[in-house]
Formats: sequence, structure tokens, C-alpha cells
Amino acid sequence: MEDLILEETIDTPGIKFQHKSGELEITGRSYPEDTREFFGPVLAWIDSFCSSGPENVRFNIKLNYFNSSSYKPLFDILSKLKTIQENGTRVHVEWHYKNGDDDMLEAGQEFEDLTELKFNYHSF
Amino acid sequence: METTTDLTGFVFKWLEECEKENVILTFKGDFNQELVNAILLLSQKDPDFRGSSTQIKARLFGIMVECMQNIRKYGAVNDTGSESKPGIIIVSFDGKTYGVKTGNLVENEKVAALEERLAEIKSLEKENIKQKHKEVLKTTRLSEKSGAGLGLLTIARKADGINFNFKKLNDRVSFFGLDINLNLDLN
Repeated sequence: MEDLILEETIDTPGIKFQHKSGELEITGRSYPEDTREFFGPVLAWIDSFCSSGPENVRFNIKLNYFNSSSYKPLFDILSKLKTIQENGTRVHVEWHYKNGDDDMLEAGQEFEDLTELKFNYHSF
Repeated sequence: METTTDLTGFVFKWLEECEKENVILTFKGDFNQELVNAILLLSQKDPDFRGSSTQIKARLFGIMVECMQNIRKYGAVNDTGSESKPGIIIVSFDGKTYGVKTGNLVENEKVAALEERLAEIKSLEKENIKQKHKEVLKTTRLSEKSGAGLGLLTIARKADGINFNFKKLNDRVSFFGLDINLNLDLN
């Protein structure tokens, strides 16, 4: 399968999903006008990636901002990673937040709580 | 040449009101995504905004996005037959508190439910808003829908106070005004 690389725009995040290394990265801001249109292909890629039975996954989430309708697709990605973790994949989630933006740290902790994945936290 | 006395009178009054209310940015129009992005960029150029803390900047940005996208998604069209959904956003700053005021049209049939939700949110303490937000997140995670009802809770969670009012304009639509405060002092 091919990697999924999407350049960051003013309102959609940069996506760098590399299937061989299992390094997944989402960066920037996420408040697309049409959330489904943007995240549809991203979730489809995650589905194929998860079915390919990866051994290791490291998901770096480094968002400056995401809006309320971006919660759902982010949950969906994390939920799929949780499922493959239960089937033996080593999954690491790295949550990066801007230094001083404690709301963003808290958002990560809530995702961690709700998805039951272990998160590591880094400020930038 | 036609006289423009009335027009300049209106513009003067509008500017005077804006000055009085410490308005730093205002826009009236149809909140398409390009406009939303332009307004966000403009707000970030404001000297007060640039001098605010990372947390306040993030909260104000988030409140503005949710407000404008709500108007775009849930606002009603006007009576002229055009597709545009008229909306207004007014951002003010008095040295201690940011104010974000929005106004738009909503269909009358949607008013009761919206009013009920806003009244509930307004009655909750900050801690309870957080709790409620988390509960909705939990259902969002499991539901097919994408975050129904999260927008207003997200606003309330970031804000230090919200007020709202509705005014019935005709058989089809009402005016919906939303007034959000954000204090510089973090709590």
C-alpha cells in the first residue's frame, strides 16, 4: 500500500502516514468546512493499514487546534489503533501540545481516558 | 450627484457605537469557509490579541471558529431568495475581557430546542460543563454522527459566560443573538 501524505493547509491538518515504518503523524489545525470529505480518505487509509497487520505503530498528534467536529474522526482513528493493539500490535500515541495551552493537554488526557490507549505527552 | 447624508450618518453612528463598545473586529456577511479563515487571520493581527497568553489566544480562536461554523451550518437564509445566510460577528476587548457577539437567523421550528440547550448550558457551573462535554464526547465516540451538540458545549467550556436571546421576525425565522465573554484572567 502507499503512504498517505497530505500537505497542511490553513484549515486542514498535515497528514504523514507511513505504512512501512508505522509512523503516523497529524499536524497543524483541523477545522475543515466538510469534516467527512477531509477525513473520509484518512480513515479509509487507516482501515487498510490496520488490516495489513502492522507490528509497530507510533501515532504523533501535534495539533495547534481542532474544532468540535474533528473529535469524531480523531476518535475513530484512535479506536482502530486500540483494536489492533488488542490483537498484538505495539501502539504508541504521542500527544504534542503547544507550551501554555493546557486545554490542549486536557483534550489529550480525555482522549486517553475515553480510548483506553496509553498516551505520552510532549509540549512544543 | 445624489446626496449621501443618510449613508454617512449610518456609517458614523456605526463607527461611534463600535468605538464605544471597544470593538476590535466586526464582520457582517455570509460565513463561508474562506471568510472564516480571513476573519481568523485578521483577529490574529490585532495587537491585543498578539499580547494575550497562549491559552487565551487558543480559547478565543476556538470560540470564533465554533461560532462562525455554527452560523454556516445551522443558520437560516434570509427572505430575499438568495442562498446566503446573513450573520454578524463582533469581537471586542476592554482590557480585561474579550467579548464575542454573534447574530444570525434561525428557523422558528429550531428555536425551542436551541433555547433549551442554551438555557441548560448557561445554568451549569464550569466544572459541570466540562463533565457534560465529556459525556457528549463519550457518546460521540460510539455514535455514527459526528459530534452533534458539541459545538455549543465547546464554546461554553472555553468561555467565562454566555448569554443569548431570540426575537421572532416572521412566520419563518427568528433572530438569534449569542454573547460570549472570555476573561483575560485564567480561572
